[in-house]
Amino acid sequence: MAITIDQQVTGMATAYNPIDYVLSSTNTSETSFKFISDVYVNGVKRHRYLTPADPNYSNGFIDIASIIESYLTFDFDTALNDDSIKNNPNSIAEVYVDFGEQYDVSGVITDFSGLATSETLEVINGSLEYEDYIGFDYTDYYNNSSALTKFLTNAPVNRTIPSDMNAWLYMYNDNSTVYLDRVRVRTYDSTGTLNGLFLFSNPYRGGGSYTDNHVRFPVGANLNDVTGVTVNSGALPILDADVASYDVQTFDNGITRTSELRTYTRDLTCTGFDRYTLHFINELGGFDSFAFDLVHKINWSKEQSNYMTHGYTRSEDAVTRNLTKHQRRSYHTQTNKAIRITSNWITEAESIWLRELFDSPIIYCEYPDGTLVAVADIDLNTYEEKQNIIDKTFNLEMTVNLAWNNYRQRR
Amino acid sequence: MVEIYIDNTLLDMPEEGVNFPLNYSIADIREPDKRQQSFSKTIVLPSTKTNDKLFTHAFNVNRSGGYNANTKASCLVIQDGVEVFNGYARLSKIKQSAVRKFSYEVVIYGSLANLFFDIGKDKLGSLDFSEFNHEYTKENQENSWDTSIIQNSSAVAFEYGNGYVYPLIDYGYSANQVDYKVTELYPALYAKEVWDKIFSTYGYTYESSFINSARFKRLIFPFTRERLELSNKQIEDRLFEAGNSAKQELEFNSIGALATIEFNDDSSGNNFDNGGNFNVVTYSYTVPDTGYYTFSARIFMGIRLVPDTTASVTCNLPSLTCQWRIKKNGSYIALYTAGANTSNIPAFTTSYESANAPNPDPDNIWNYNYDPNWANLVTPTVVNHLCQQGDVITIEMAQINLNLFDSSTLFTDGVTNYSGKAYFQVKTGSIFYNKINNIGLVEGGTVDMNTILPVDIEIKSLLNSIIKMFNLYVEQDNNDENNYFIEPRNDFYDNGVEVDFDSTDKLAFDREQEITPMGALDAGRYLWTYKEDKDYYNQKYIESWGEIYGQHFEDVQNDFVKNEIKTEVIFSPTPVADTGFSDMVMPRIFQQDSNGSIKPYAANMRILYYNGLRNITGQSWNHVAATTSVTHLDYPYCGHLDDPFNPTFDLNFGVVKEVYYDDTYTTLNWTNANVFNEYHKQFIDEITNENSILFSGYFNLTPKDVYDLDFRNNYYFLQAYWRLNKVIDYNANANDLTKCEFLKLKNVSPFVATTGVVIGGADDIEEYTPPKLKTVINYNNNNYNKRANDVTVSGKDNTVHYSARSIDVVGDGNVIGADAERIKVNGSNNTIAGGLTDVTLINTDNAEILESGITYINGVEIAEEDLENRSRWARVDLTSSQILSLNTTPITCIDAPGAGKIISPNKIIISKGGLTTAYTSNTNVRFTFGDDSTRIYTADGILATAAPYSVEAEPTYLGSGTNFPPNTALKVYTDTGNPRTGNGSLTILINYSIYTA
Repeated sequence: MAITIDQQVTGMATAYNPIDYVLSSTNTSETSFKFISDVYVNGVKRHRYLTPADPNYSNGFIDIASIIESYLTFDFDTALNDDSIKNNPNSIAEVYVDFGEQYDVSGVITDFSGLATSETLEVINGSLEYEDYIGFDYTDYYNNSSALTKFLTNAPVNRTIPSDMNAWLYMYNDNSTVYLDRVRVRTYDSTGTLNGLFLFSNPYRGGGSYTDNHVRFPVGANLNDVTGVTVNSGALPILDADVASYDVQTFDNGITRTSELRTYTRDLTCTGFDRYTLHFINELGGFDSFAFDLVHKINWSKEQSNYMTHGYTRSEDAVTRNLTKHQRRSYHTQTNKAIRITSNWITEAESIWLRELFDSPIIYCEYPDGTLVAVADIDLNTYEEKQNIIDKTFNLEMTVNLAWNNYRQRR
Repeated sequence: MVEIYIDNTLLDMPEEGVNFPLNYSIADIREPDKRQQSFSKTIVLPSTKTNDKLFTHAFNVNRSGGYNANTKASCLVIQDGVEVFNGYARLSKIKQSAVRKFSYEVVIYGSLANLFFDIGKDKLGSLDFSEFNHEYTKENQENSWDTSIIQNSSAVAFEYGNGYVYPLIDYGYSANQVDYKVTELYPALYAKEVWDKIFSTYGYTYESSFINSARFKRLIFPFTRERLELSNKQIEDRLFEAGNSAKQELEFNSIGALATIEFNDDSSGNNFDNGGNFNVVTYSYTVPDTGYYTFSARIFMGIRLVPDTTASVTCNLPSLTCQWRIKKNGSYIALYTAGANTSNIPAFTTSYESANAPNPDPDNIWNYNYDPNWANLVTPTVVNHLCQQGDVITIEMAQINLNLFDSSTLFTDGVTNYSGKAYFQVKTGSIFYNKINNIGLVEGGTVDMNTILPVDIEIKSLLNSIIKMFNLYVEQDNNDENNYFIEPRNDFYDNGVEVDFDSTDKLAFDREQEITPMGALDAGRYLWTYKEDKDYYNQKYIESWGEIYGQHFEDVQNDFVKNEIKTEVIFSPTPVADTGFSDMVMPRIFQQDSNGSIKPYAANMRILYYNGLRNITGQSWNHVAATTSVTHLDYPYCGHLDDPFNPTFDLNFGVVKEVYYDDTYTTLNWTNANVFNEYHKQFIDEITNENSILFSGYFNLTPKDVYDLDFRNNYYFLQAYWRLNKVIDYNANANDLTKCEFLKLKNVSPFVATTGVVIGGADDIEEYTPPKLKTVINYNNNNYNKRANDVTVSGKDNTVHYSARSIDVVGDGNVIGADAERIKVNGSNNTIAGGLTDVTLINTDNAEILESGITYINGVEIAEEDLENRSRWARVDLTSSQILSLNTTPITCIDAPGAGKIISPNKIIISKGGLTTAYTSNTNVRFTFGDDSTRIYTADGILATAAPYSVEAEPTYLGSGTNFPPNTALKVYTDTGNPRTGNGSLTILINYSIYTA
């Protein structure tokens, strides 16, 4: 009895893309042979595959992604009050597979479990566009070295964002005490002069749980909500009125940068319109944010049903007929709210990135007054990535359908 | 909103939701057994994380384990916080409509808790009434009438509706209709006891004024089979088989040896002791319950001989024999003798032991051959022996022929006798067992109350019959689906309130409305009836009136509806009848042929009214036990009336046209407060009214309206009051109007019973005609107990008291009093006083006899001596078999005449007309008072030929003395020996007189 794991995914994988394993065995010629693959998610056996050997290659092949995705959701700061680095326990799972085999022994189908065990794999709630999946190297996003790790976003590294817009960055790391030790924020005034340098620590470093490997922290106006900030220079708040731009980067426990540098230019202009900000889950499982700060329109749709009653009103000694009697009356009125929103001019890079908003399955809309509501879907069936060379300038316009029904009174 | 839980997991619903339209119908209440209990609905669930996990990613074709689509998963559906149903779900299909876009097709099977659904096809035999098991005794029977019953082996106070009662029902066993043995009374179960048992057995409760009413508590289901028998369990519990694990030896001696056979194994192999009645230490069976038992044993015998010598010897005794005794409490109830023929044992040295030998046995010492396979098998048996509870049964082996046994000379070598020992053996493999051949319950036995009801009737049929009979509306409790509200229809509606659908604008005027005149009318004739039965009185009624006893029909004045709706219950009607000797009216359930011969009858199930003890006017009755008899002046009455002479309620649907008793002893009233009038009339009056309307339309029902929905209520709209009939497809989530059906009914007055005296049956009591009274088809006006098979009456206007015995009357106008016995009357207008015996009137009229032992001939009293002197004839017909043993067994021609009397034969005639083949040898036929020396006539050789002739002769006494011997019978015989071969009969006629010696 010997099971060999010929192919497996190691390190980290995205749950909504294939997670393939290939196995071989010395016993595939046994009667009724099948590979056993017991999938363990977060230490609990969740699923068993019984896979026959391939007729040509005598190996076994399973893709466990569809199982794993059931154990992942997402993490978002719906209260809009993150005050530090937070972990995202619903966005990551720890997975391994116990392999074995099954075949007929003297007329009895017999299981031989636990003959080989896969490497432990961390799976995040990512869903990579297929081209990205084919070339995906998780180490690009794995903050476990001195290399400059990418955050879990495909947004342009240099963005202009409204000064009061909340935003977050998500990162996958090894939760060691070393590599994601702290976040550094440098602010600049309008002349590009350093205004302040701030550091805040990662409370999940060295925590030991896989759930600490997926973290997020504020990078928009909500940076000012962060507490426990170490001020190397300047003064709190981090983003004061003088700050025209700022950059964000993670550091290890020494002085080594461990992430890419992301720069935000604060848009302090007033458009005269209400701003609606959409926070949406991106392909890598983090939440990106984008503001629509030009014209918006609120649309209501209605579904109503009526019936006809008799035309009189009774009293002790009379039957009265008059024009105030609702002879036709409604017994069902349902309304739905939708908001048509328009963005300011966007860049070509943003246009490419915002395709992830177009097909994002989880969206929140932040009203101008800071109220956060759930969006059912976006009323767009196609999306075109704009190019400067063709389209010159362009913005984004869409209708978001909110995720509830309203009902009116019944008679 | 609908929420669905499968295996306690709340499922993710599709965006469009899942709807469960609900239907409500008065029919669900009127016919609860037909209520839709189960349904299936296929829903399509999206492949979400929750649903994927529940179904363990069933779209993965290589999945193993996890959710099993082959088994039922619990499923709970909640709509707007209300449990719609609790059922189960089956994952039927997984569909992929696009890459990785799966959906689960799940079939939900809902089943509302429902008593009728849970009962299914269960039969009455599945209900357990064993808590009421009791001893079949006179005391228990009488206690049940008004004092106490046995429940869980203890006496509990009598209460109508609880347990059982022994009503007096004539099942055809009592010959005189006065004496009723304990074993001729059978228990009845109260209907309420059965009703409650059904509900409790299936985990349901009910609230009902009707079921708890005094009326319902008095309803009983009487026993209706031919006799009370043991149940299978009672039989099983009595059976045992015990074996012996070791060979047992009994050493013979000069004073007689005996021992109980040691059956010490009642559990291994084929041995068993179902009721734990056999004791393997004392080897005895203790009778668990009084009854008839057959005990038997299969004993493999053996012997062992041990001479006190080493010489080659044989046994001096020709046989060693035992008596095999089945004993009850130490006394024999069966004796068998069997042993070994020791003379056939070949010479042996040291010892000899017989083999447990199959037939033929090697030494040919056994010859009992009870079993063709075993020569040494003896099978002592006692069949159908009456045992009392606690009797102890054993089997004993006992040495016999003691006088032949001498241990000092037991063996011989042909020259010298030797002493030694002889043992009788019971070989291993022997068994002691019993059987129950007579399964009739005997007095003192235990009544298994699970045998009282007809076990094969479906419980649902019984419930339905009661529901239909009393027009019960059975409404499930909205707050407790295991609870029912049950009331008769009229009471059901009386509990309703008025609901205004007019001022609340519930009716949608712009939607379809349907008005059906007399829409609830579905028949031109409504018939309520019991089920026909074949017992005497039911058939008599059907033959007389062409309809079933107690039925009722109502015809509707409608030119278009002609069909008939028949409401038939599973019970059969039970006519009640009197005896003619008193007003003791009771059900009489038996069959009777045209000759008046009565036999018990296994009848259909009945429902009757038990109203406690009723006083008797007229002849009392006797409750006869094995050792005592008690005369009662009242009796435990049951019948279709609550009182046969002053009824206030009649279990029949309608007024019967005839009853089988009259007002001889008590004034007879009748009532029309029967089942139709009390429970059905109002409904029929309402729906048959020409102004009744069925209306359907759409209504704006809110969830609260539906929650408050009550079929009892009167709904007001369209300026009329309506009764809700149906709510069709109410859907809390559809935001639509709901179609409802209502019935507009005429208000009718409640029924008021009218009661009046029945005068001959031709009169009317206000609006109805009471039954005709008992019609005795007695063209000759002879009055006597026709059920007494020793009473014959020919002529007219004769009256023989029902208690008279051995009566033969030919003539007119004769009267024979109570308890007279052995009375023969040939004449008219004679009166024989009560209590007289042995009276004979021949060709005599107008005599009044006041003394026993009187004989009148031709109107003249005959003195005893005159009677003696008259000549008379005796006739004897000898059969072939009697002739062939006529020497061994002489045949008496004339019985001994009594002390001091002699028989004086005058003439003997022998007819050979029946002789077909001459007999050989011993062909002399002789007549004698004693032996051949005192013969009076010899017909020598009369049997030697078959010629058909007769001889006639005057006998001559050959004995000593001049007179025939006193008080001696005259016999016929053949001298020397029995005749041989030959065939045919001989007729002998002897003319003789009787004289005082």
